[in-house]
Amino acid sequence: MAGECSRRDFLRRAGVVGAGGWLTSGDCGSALASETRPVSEDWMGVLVDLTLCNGCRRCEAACQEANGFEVPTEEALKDRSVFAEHRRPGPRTYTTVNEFSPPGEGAGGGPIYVKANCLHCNDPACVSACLVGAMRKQPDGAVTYDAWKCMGCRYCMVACPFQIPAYEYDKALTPQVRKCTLCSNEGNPHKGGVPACVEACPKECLTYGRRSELLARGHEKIERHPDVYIDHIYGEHEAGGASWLYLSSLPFGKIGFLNVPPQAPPRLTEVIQHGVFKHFMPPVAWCGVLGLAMWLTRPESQLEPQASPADTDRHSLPSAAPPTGKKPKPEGVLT
Amino acid sequence: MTAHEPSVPVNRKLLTPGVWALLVITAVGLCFGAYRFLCGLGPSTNLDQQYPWGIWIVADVSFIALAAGGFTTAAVAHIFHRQPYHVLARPALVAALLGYTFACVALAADLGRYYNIWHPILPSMWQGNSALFEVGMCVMCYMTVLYIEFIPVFCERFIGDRRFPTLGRICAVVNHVVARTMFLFIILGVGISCLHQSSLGHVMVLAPSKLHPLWYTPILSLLFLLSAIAVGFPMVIAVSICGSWALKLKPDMRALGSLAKYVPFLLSIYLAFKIGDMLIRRSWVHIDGSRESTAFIIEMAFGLMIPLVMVVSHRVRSSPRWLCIASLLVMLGVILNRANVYWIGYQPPYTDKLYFPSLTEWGFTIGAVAAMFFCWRVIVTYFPVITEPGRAEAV
Repeated sequence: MAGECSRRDFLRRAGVVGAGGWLTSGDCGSALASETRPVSEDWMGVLVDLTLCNGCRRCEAACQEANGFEVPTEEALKDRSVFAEHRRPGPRTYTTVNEFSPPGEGAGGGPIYVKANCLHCNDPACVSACLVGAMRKQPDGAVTYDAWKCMGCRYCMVACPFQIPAYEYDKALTPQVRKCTLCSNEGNPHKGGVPACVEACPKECLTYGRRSELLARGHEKIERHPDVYIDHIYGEHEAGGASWLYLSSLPFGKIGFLNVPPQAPPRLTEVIQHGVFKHFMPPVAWCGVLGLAMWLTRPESQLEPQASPADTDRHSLPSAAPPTGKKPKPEGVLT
Repeated sequence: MTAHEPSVPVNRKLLTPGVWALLVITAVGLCFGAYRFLCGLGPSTNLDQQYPWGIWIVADVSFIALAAGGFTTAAVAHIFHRQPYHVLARPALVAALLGYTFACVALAADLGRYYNIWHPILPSMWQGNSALFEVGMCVMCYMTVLYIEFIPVFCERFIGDRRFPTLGRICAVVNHVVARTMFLFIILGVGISCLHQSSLGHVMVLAPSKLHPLWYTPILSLLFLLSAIAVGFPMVIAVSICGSWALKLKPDMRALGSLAKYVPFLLSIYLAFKIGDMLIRRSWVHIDGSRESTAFIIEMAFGLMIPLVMVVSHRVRSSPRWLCIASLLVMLGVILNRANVYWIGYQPPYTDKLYFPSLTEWGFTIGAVAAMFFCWRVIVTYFPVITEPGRAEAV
């Protein structure tokens, strides 16, 4: 009798758990989730006007210098052959400029140069991913990394929708995740001020300021020059929005930008996870249910601590021959 | 709780040629491991800025998925008190214990700063938004529970052993205390397992733009939980049958065949959710002959549908060889699923080449598997894990 009951319970429970999981993780999850977490007025950012950039790569050089990496020489900066290949930010280059020449387009017909670096998202997936809190969104909006906490699991790299964090695979003992810090890292001469790349730009295509003000300025520019700019600020909504904002004369998809949906990835995952762990009640309830099942289905031998010889005899049965009373039932249910 | 025939250490020679072969493979794997720790991930692996996770992460999540046999068997044997399965609880426990232990070994190799592996314990570093944090905490707790569940096996070995009188007396006391509280650990073990098995799937939900749509779904966590529950019994069955062959014992087909009756049911639930999810998300449009869709079809056909059809048949369930093949197929299917989610289906937007594991990555993984088999052999040789139904039956 006890066996029957437990089995049916087991099946029913499996169904309930399944349905619950679907609800919390599927439709409800995305319906309840907002696009991003609350945006702070204190967050700083950079507005990039791609129509002004001439690909001089002074920003790259300044970045290398500020972070103590190898600085390209004047000759190297003049060498245009670097644009032959698409360069991504890496462990010893926080920013790269690439050239895009979409056929037959571009304001004035020339190529477009795009500076790539960490966008410092409003609701960063890397911060949500990091299990030890090594990735942090700072009060000034910069997304920073604390090597001392890091375990080196590289989940931040998996999570980043812009594929930015880079890893020092060549270091055997103390590899770090590397990416732009918005010049807020220790030892950076620009710490607390205007980032090195912004300061170095001779064409003033980079503007540093409050994100909210930069957004307003960007929209104003678009309104004033609808013939120059497309009506889209990249970084306003992408992945929940970011501190780096881009103005362009061409659709962003044509100049190497990724088409990233407006919902920040953590809005879905955190809603599901915090639903499953709400006040720790579901896991505790689940363990309670298991305990109850254990108690309800306890064998008779546990009810009477002094097992009679007959009992012992019965319990040795399973290994000798299956108990005849129980056999038909499992087949009826399971096959 | 064991009123049936007691488990005993198997009375077999340990160092057979097969075991020597395992030791050699383990030694080679150790050399690859030494190379990784001395020279770093760069020279030893093919991981790069595009593919931060490789075969070691696949091995981690696969070991943990297969180790689900520990908690599913504990559930039927100790929570639902299905007496016939008590004989399988200890072999399942040992398999799960080794699965988790070696998942940690593979993880340590994969972590760039492996010496910080304990950081999630520190409350100052807790980051409850991370699926990996949940996995890390649960794996640590569940490992502890598994080792506590192993205490009776350890103690029984020394209780009454005249060569170690003091140890025997200590073991008797410890065993008594543990036996009184064991029900708590069994409940905790099953509860915690359900949590982190699902969280392992939830990890990849954070990368919607990178995981191929054939696998990306908000309910990935549920699919991971269902597949772990489905692969649990086949793992116990395959380990028991292969283990019996290796030890020249007769597999206990009564218990295994009856345990196998759960498998079609559990596999069907998993299959139903997987197909339902595919229909709702209309992801079948991505079955287009690409590399990923081929991997998906192999996973679904050989790892799920074929073994499901096989194990429905009574003849398959009563034949050790065919039941073992069906169980191995289910295991293969779940390993392939984990490989697909964490490797084949992982598509970073900027790529210049595909990731394929290096020699060191393969070597270390294979070495870890061999070491796992060797440890299993050692444990069943020296500790009471396996029940031999009438030793006379042994071949």
